[in-house]
Amino acid sequence: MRCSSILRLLLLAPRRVRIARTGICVLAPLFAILDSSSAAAPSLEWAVKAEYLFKLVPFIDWPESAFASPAQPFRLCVVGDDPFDGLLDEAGQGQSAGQHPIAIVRLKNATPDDHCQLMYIAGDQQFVTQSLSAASGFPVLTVTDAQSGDKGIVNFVNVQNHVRFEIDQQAALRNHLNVSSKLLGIALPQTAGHAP
Amino acid sequence: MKRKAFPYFTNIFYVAAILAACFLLLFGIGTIIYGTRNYAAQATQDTIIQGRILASAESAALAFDDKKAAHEYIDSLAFSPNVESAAIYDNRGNQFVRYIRAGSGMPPARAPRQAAYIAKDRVRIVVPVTEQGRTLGTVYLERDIEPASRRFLRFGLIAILVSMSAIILGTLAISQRALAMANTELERRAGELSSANTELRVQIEEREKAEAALRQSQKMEAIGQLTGGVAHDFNNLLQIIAGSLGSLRRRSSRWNLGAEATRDFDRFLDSAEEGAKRAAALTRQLLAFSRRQPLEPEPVDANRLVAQMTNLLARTLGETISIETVLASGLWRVLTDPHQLESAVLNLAVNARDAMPEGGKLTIETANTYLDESYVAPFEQLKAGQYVMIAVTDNGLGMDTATLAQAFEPFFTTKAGGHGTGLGLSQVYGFIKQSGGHTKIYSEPGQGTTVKMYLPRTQVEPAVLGEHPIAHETAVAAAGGQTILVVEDEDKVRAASVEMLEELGYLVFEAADGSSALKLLDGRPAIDLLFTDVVLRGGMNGKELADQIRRLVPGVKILYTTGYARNAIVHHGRLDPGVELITKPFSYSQLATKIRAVLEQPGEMPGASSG
Repeated sequence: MRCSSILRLLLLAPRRVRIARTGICVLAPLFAILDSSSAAAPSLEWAVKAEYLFKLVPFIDWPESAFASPAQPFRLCVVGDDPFDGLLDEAGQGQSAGQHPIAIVRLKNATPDDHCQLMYIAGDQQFVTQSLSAASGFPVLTVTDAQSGDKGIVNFVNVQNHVRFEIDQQAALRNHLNVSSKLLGIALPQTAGHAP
Repeated sequence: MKRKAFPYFTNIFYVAAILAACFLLLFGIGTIIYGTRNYAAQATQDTIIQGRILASAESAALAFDDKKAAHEYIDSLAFSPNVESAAIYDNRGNQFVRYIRAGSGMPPARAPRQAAYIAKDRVRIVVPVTEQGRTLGTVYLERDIEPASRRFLRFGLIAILVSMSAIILGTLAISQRALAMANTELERRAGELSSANTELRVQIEEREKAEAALRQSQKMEAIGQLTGGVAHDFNNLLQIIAGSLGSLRRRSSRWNLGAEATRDFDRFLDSAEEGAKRAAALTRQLLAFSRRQPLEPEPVDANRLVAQMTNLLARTLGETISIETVLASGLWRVLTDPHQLESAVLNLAVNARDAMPEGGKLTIETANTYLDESYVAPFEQLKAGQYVMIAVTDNGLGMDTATLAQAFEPFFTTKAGGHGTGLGLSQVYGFIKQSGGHTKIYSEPGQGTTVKMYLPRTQVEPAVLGEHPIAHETAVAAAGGQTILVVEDEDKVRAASVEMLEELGYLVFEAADGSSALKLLDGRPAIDLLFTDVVLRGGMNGKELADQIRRLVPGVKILYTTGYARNAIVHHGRLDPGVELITKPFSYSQLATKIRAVLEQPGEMPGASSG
């Protein structure tokens, strides 16, 4: 059971992470151990999340004001300590957001002048709240990994070893973003949300 | 021509109809194939659209690995009855989710490369799953091109077309056959009509021929009646003249006339007797034509008769005409009057001579022949059977058709006045007909003439075939004083006869008719001979009178006389056996000879006592 779910994750993982297919079942016990020891950044989970960040892009409409020019890169910002450990760069290879090339930007703090289009906020509750309020009202898709307190427009949730997400539609509207109904269709029902 | 033209056009019509039926069939099949192809293309397009819709719906689920949501979408394909199977593949070609209709095959394990293809009535399409230009994976969809109902409809259409064509062709075939049968029937009827028409025409022609022949024979019969009557009266007159002349001559010897007067008397008497003789010959021919002359038939060998006549003919025809006789061997005998047959041949020879003024050849030919039913049909009284033919042919002037038609009529002649009586062929015609035979003339102007006489064959053997006595003028011997009863209705004829008989030394009683004759005999001694005319006035003819007298006076001799013969004693133109007859006009010596001969016959004559 667990082996199969890990396998599923494995299949979705980037090429590098996929390891050798033949070794999957040999590695299964290792994953099981990692799985049981809380969310201490097992690389497979972060690989999925890194990929999901890029996959979210086609399902979100940004207002034209979000970009100064068509040639301006799409800024994917990681605020706080980067939890992806290079997996993000790997997932972003060859990716683009429509016409815009994607630039991965790592920031200590979120400020209104960052001009990020997507902002992954990593940190404790307070950091998240601060960052969210900095981005609020700007055309920024905020993504969080919060289990409680303030959450971004998209908030990753682990459900039965699957990475799922919640969507705060109101927050999206505040940030002038239009979320695809398809994305809404597969999003988890919203558990809690705090208006900033 | 018409009968041919009709089927020709019909054939064109049928070929056109068959072509039309074939065209209809091909057109129908073509339409169905085109429709099917078109439908397949349409179905492919529809499937691609369906695939795109599915891809669009599945993009988020595929992107974020939400199999539950993905299944919700893909399983909704169950509402589309044509979809057999479907599958979603991720970017790496691995199957993400799939849908399989019950009883259908599995979709491929990995994403196929072809965008769309058709195989085994299935259309299979592969479309990419994209979101805002970003490819997330692929959708595979397999669909039945045609639902079963539609296929049934298609095959049904073909079946209907085929059966319609078959019905058209069948109907054509049936109508063609019906037409052909009607044609045949029509032709048969036309043939029947034609043959009936031909038969009718033949019958009409035969009838016309028969009518013409009948008219001709009726005309000849009428002329015969007339000439017969005239000849009879003439004979009576000639009898008076000849009898008177004879008496005059016999008595003149007792008169003492001067030498010059005697010479003149004899000259005029000779002249008058010669005229009376020629007149008698003429009336004989008239009687022959009217078939009223009494015939004395006997079995005759025509070959022998002709042979015996050759000398006579040579004298008659002269040196410029050669005579050839072609006589058939084994010639049958005929029952006829040899004297009349001689006359007939002589008459024909004389006609031939007159037709050949520059000379020529006369051929007399005999043959056995057979006249069949079809030949005798137009002629009354002529019977089919065996005949002896005697043909007399010349190579003279010949006759045209108009002349031929009248040739047998009495007094019809082409000869210059005074050269012919016009009775020669009439005698031949009447005599041959009276003998139960038939005469036929073939002639063409410039070619000559053939007259064929047909006389019926007889099985009777000739008793004695000797020289035929031709009118012996024997010396008149004195009579032995026998008693003769003369019965004659013409007073002057009777007077002449009585005078002759008295001169001959017979005792003569006379009566004008049958009843007065019987009255005369009442209480009188027996008479030796009854000399009676065949035809009497007052209800009793010569034969009836003779029969009565024979009862009164057994052993009485009978001699008939007549201007012409009637049925009373002449049956079918022939004398009954044992009947003695002297025809008017007769001469003194002829009468004397005949009376003597009859009186000298021994006893009762066979057959004379009957009826």
